[in-house]
Amino acid sequence: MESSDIHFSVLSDEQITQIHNAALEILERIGVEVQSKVALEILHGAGASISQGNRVRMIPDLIENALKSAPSQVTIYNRHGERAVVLQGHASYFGGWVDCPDYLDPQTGKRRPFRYDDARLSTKICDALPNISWVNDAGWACDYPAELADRLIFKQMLLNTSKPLGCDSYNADNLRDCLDMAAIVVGDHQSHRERPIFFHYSEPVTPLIHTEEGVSKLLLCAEESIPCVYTPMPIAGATAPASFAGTLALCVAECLSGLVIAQQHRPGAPIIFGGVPGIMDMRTTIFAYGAPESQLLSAALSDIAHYYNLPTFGTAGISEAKTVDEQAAAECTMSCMYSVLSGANLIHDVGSLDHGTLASIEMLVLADEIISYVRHATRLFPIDSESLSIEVIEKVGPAGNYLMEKSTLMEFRKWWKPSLFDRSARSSDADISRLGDRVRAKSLLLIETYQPEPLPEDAVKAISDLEKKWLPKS
Amino acid sequence: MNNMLQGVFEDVLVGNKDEVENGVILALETCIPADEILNKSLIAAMTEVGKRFENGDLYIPEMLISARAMQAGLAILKPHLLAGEVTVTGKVIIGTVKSDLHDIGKILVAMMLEGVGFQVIDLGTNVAPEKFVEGIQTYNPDIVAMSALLTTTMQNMKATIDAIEKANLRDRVKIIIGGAPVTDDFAMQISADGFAPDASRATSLAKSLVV
Repeated sequence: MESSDIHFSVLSDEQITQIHNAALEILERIGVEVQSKVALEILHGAGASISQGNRVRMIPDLIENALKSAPSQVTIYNRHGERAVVLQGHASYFGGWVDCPDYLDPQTGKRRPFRYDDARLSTKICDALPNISWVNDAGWACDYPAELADRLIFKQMLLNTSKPLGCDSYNADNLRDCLDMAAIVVGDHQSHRERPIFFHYSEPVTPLIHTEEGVSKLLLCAEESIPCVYTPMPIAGATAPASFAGTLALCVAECLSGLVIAQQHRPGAPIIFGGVPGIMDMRTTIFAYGAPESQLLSAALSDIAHYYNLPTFGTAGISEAKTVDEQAAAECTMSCMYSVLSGANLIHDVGSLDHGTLASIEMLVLADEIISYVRHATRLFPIDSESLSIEVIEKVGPAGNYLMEKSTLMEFRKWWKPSLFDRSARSSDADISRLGDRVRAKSLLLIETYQPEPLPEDAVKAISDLEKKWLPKS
Repeated sequence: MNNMLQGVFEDVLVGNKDEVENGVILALETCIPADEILNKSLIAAMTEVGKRFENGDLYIPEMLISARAMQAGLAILKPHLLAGEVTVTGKVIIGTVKSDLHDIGKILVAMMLEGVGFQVIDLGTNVAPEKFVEGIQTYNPDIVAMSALLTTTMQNMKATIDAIEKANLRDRVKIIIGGAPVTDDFAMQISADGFAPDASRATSLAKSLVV
């Protein structure tokens, strides 16, 4: 279980109640635009009011019922059927980036378009890194059309890691194909319903739009018990109010209305709450993942998710820096620390640079080190009669030392052991190496030497046979 | 500069739409030539806005509010300007491609293009390739600007360029693209005429393509 013992809250219960009430008011008075005919029928059947064809207004009861039936714990399994990612409470699990158009090649140090083979490589690296708990969908490759790339890359992920996966498919039909592949790995579809090895990511469009495509994927996930993140990316000052209480109220309204659609379709469908709230940089117009305001908003959203007792999506390990430099390290650290302290559960985007457009294996490797640091820095130590160490203090007495005490021998092994940070006593100028160089060396070593556990032959064959269905005939 | 024109200039700088409208009306009533009002207060003010933005003294929302105020003043001036005096920088049709409903970036680009004197026709979101083709036929633009937020919908930029080529309209327009996942390499791959990573550079790119 990856829970930290030390938490913080941005919002008090009273403040959360205000935001919750604002979200309810948005849904009751303003409503959301639902572009999916199926969802409109579901909502109409549930008693929501529909005007102008697709403007849906929901009374608080609908939301309260959805909150009651949505599960508080969502579990994602690894290839071996083990409970690898248990999303509940303040348990935090980190995973990688999604859909970066470019790749920072650790071998050349140069930026280039993301290729299909980069997905294979980065899956392998995520599999190798102990603090990356699940592998996210690269989803895009310049050497394949988008409607094929999602499934080809999902296959690479299944082949190159046994960790749980994040999936971001082109459309509901392709999601079905991904599900079919996952079912092969775990045995069959029923087994996957009971022990899913991937979750799916889909979004409403802020402000206040549920699209046909996004909802179709949400509904399929609900039907097949695929854990689904259906959350928005509200941009304060651009697609959402610039006042953060308003940003959050809007985000929560979109999330909750999505939750209603899913729960009405199938009560108990595993849905992950949250969002990727942030600011638009008003000089450069980019979405600033690394901004302090974005960390604050995400942490506040985690508080709200805990209030609802729902698992929550988070964002960390991502930077606006164009390379793995001091800014990347700082923004990575801040976001990882905020995420763990606020108890975000399913934390994504680790390893992204340049506001999510640049996938970097070196950033993944650096983040792995930083996450490890953060976990140690948020683990509370026991305070009891033994750990207070009075007898030991008495025994050692004034001017003694503790170097060979039994408690020392037991305790020091629990302290953080850096694999990349330098703790050497002193160096001459000739000895100094930079963290960036050590990160690159580790990245290259992993690329060259790490071999993930292979998928059984029969599963590989079955997936390849399935793949023939959607590959173009050459 | 004449006090009245200076007043309109200052009001554009701070984005006070109502005052700009009143100021333009008053300036017309005192028989200041329309083209002088246009060049010395409205366009001069937007040039100054552009400079201050480049220097980091003004930010996007302030620039947009100034552009909106300038457009309001221009709307009042237009009937009083002779055909040749309206120096429209160029004409742009803009839209988010098929299957994509994201439009905040597109809206920013459209407003900033207007701010530097382009006439912009916004085709909206989820714009099919055929609609872009129709747009060229109807509006005869200099530039077709396409936006996409999703890696999945970016492909529709190529489909749109293909449709424009098929309709034998490719040589009539310059095509520029943008959006968070869009890159220079992608633009080259699909034979667009240009790519810009943000609204400000989209504006410079558009200006460079119409000279």
